[in-house]
Amino acid sequence: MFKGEGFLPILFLLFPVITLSGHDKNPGIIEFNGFCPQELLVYRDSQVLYNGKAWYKRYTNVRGNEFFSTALWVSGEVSIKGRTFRVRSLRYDIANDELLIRRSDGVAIAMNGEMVSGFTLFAEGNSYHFKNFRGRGNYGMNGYAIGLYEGKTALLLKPVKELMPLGYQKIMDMFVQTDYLYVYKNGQVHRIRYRKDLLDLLDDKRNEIRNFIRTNRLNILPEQPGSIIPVLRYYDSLPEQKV
Amino acid sequence: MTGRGKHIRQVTTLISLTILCLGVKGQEGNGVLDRISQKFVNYCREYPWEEIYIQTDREEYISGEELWFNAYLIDRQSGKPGTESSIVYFEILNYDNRPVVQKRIRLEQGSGPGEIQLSDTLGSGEYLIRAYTNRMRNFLPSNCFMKKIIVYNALSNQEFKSISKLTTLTADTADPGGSDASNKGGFRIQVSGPGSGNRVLNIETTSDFRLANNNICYMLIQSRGRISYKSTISLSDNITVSNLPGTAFIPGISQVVFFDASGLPAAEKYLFTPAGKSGNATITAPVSCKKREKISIEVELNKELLTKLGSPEFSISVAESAGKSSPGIDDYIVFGSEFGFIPDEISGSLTGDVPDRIMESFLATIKSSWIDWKSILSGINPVLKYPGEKEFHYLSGRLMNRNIPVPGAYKYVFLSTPGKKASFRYAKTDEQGNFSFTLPVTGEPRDIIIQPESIEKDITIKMESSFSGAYPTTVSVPDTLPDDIRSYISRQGANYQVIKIYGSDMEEKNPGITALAGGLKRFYGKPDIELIMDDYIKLPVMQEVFFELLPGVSLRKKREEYEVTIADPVEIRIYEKPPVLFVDGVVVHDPAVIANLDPELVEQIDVVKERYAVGDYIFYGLVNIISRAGNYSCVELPEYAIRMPYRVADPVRVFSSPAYSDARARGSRLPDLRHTLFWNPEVKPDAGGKARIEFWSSDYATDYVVNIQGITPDGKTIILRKNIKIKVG
Repeated sequence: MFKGEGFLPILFLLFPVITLSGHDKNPGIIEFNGFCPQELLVYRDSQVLYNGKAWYKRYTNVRGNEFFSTALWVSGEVSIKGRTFRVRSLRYDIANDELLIRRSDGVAIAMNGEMVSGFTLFAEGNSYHFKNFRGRGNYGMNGYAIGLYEGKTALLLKPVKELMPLGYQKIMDMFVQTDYLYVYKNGQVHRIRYRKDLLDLLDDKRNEIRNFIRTNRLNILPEQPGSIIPVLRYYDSLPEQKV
Repeated sequence: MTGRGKHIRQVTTLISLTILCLGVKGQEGNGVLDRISQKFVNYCREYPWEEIYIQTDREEYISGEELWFNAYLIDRQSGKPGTESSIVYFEILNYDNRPVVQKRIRLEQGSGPGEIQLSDTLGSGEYLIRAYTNRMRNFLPSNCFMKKIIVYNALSNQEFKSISKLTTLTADTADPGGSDASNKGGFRIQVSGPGSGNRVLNIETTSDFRLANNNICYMLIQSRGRISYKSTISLSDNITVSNLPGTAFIPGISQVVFFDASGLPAAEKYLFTPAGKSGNATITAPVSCKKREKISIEVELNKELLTKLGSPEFSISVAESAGKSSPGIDDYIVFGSEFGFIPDEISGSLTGDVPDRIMESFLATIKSSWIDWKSILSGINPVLKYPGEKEFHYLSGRLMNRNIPVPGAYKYVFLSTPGKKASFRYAKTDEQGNFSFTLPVTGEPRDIIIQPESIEKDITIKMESSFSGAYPTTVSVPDTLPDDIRSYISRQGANYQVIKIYGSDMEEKNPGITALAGGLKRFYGKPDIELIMDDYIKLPVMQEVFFELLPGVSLRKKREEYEVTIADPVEIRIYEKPPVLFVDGVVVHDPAVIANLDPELVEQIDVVKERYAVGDYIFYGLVNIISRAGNYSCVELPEYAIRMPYRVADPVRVFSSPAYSDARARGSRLPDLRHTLFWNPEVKPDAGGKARIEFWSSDYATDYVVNIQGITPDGKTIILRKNIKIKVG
């Protein structure tokens, strides 16, 4: 499921969901372009922002790369302790689920995942907003993910790259991207592979959901996560069933 | 073309050119004035001025009593509650000019309540309350809120000392010649007309000035950073008369500035325009009442005070009348702190009642500490040493050698908060060895350890007080008190003793927090090794713990000293630099400290083997020993480090007073001799602007005054005063 090069088509389908807008200046956002004369504030902010293990390159002689969308350093925004920093050099390593930031002196740091609450990457003309679900209640699914829908239930998309060993074929190993889709319900995270997984998960309101899908002629396809959102939104709007 | 036609054409061209030139000249004039105005507007926006006003519950106290107050932060230009600072530094200076009380008060939406207990050892005399923000520290000692209070000590035989004179940096001392000193040669201004309404300006200029400036000059009138009038003046003769409408002056102090043709200041003059007193709220309260009787006060704000910006708040005190009252918030803001200390004859009486002669002579000496035309016209704002504290409080100090005055320049200084969740911050010293840390503005107590990164011989840290050490120059003189005052003090002192003996049930708003706050998460996140000591058999010494349970980390004795090393998991070799060692999140320089720890006291050991970055500081691995107590108590603090409990904002108690709602309470034989019957710094009226306040009178029959002060979100002041008498019987 979603193996191979399938992520880009999914992203196109997600366009209504993922923020497409440009990144206009927001007065609440702290510009962070390296060191500036306000040394004290910069020291304070730099210690909040540049906090993590020094990153080192793990993979050589591999086809593809471990990064989300692009291997280039891209601009973006990082939210830490309720504050949002706009930074120039970010990269998201989806093989190890690490957000990388590059200091002005070129040192790359894998940001401390316990501190980052979310980030946005501005890559290839799009903006991708990831939230950190690490340690959030019982979400189960660890690390960063794109929150496609968040109500009583939630729909989460987590792109992951895995190294496919091809050395035995005497060709270079290759990164393969998989996009995992999860639905959060009643404090638990469930992976959605097929249409049936979703319907089974929402089984407590089976008739209403089936009627809704039929009436609205919805084509539920996990390959198109956007098609699941109206169903979850409708499910959340239904009254709780009395036991 | 005929010759005549050619001539007409030449004349027409000449006339057109002349008209064009005149037009250009006119535009040039407007251009100069517009440029000055724009620079002024930019300056006031980028370089605002803060004012503090403190309302106290009373003007006179007995040593040992509580003093209740509310601090208001006001943006001078807009008059609205200030938002650029979150901390007010409140001090009481004694007659010898030394602080006897220092408190940091937290502001929310421009105001914050406070309370202090005066020491019962204070001698009788006048004391000076002063309050400022960190930003206002740049302009001390003169430019801050200052107010005299009187403290009596009935049990002390020391003579009463009054502050006879406050010498501060106003124009008369800092800039001899006063504000007219900036008047250039060849320019003199005289103003005639009443304090309010139309005014006539006689501008006396020399022929040289007029010749050099093409017979023009520019005039701009501003008050509190707001331009109220500007015009280009054609200078026709030795004396040019300019009639100014009353609308050219905003009530308060106006600065009239004249600029020459090139846009440089030529002269300035300060004028005072009194504000009309208008009641914007009404108060309904009984004129008199009996002892232990319920008193209801109703306050109704006019509709003009109710804004969409939010509900206005005000503070109210009902306290024994001291005869004269200090300026209210509206009177104070006329001068504010912009012009330094205001003499008694001006501040002591309400500004509208000051005789013109006194006011004029005062205005001739003042100089604004804020509006600096040199800076305005240059476009370069003054550099402030002390920044505003909006989100963070600055904790500053100096790294230096204790024996010789050599600063520790460009060094790292660490700040740690002992706890099981390690937090780490660093600062770098400047060339003078100065460093600063930022702390969030909260009321919670913190346990802070500050130490240098590198231990050099005799290196030491000196922390700087966040309170200013710049005090106004005061002269205290012994005073003799009349007999009636002596008997009054004696009575007041007795009342205080009775209150003290029979106690009060004051409650703390922020109940005492015993636990010292540390971090919520470990600054290094999830470590590579997280060793829980209870999961393993007990080992006798730490060396064995490292050897047996921490792969890749070694603690060993090399000659007489211990060393800790970590193998870089990437390069698979020992780092060239040693790892940073922590005990309970506090950096420990000597590995022997860890080696000598009793493993029984250790709860957990965290190890980060990879290089770890915080800001531009790199750890080549780190080891954090977490003790069972988790408060760094198992290690002796080295002498180069400083450990201090620190509270950014001091806690505030809630005013409480007895209630006589039932007959038993009313009949109680416990005396109630309170001097302050009621205090509430945060009264919120309902949507209709009405507020009802209820409290009980005491057994002390005397005159009381209800004093209400406040400021609305859109900058309108709320002032109300009313007298109440408690009768005997």
